[in-house]
Amino acid sequence: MTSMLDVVFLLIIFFILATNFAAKDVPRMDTPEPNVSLAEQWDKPNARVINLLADPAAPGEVGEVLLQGGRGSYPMSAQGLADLTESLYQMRQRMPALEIDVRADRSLPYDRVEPVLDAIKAAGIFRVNLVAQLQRGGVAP
Amino acid sequence: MHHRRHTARDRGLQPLNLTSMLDVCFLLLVFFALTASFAIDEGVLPTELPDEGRGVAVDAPPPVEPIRIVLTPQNTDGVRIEVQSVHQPVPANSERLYLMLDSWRFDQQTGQGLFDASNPVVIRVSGAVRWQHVVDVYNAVLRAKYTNVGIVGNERDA
Repeated sequence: MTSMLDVVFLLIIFFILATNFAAKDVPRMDTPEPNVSLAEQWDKPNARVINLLADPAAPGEVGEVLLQGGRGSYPMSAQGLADLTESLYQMRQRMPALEIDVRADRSLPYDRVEPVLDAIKAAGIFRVNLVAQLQRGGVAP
Repeated sequence: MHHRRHTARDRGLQPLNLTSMLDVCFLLLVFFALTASFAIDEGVLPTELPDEGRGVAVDAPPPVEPIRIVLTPQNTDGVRIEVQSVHQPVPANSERLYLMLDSWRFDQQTGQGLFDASNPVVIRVSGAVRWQHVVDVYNAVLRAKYTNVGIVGNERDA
């Protein structure tokens, strides 16, 4: 019994330490993987994530636009993008140095990403970070 | 002389019942096992969106001719990368684009190169080009150490 308890506690400690709860902002998707990536570590406190998930039922279409990993979901319509702009504008009022991390599925065509970039610009936010895979095996030369 | 080890029962104590604690431990274990989402290998490439209404992003007088990189779709998922600023062969991929841009960048030590690192680079993208290629090309330009890079839709005037 004692040794089993030891193992259970060890497993609990492992999961507590290894779990990244911030990853709730990053739903699973295939982000772009540049050749010799210069992507920097992702830990900006003044940045908020916009996820553009591909629609599995309709290739090349955006399934969902998620602000902050599900706290706000916006359809890819004129009204949805206008609502996104309004939400971002409100966030920028509270956080003037706000930056947006655009995390889009690599398979999406640019004309599905561009309206979201426009919505970000319309909110007066021009500092945007493109989320990409880090260089495997360390920092790019 | 025989010494007998005194148990908790001998001392009038009940043995510790671990069942409920084990239940809690297993519940915690299941919770963490199910919700665990391990750190992902992602990072960000910082950029500045072009703002047509906010003035020109480039503040280097006199105005300089930007390096224009045009991305158009090729086949199903491919991309054609074309540099329009100077007459050069069309790069086949982002690696060749990087090598080309890197060789064009002005090097103060050797005094060679065509463009300053602050020279604007405009990536014009056709709507059907995959986001993967857009980010890949943007990354290649950053790799070549250009600092003033913008991404615009192909139908827009850079």
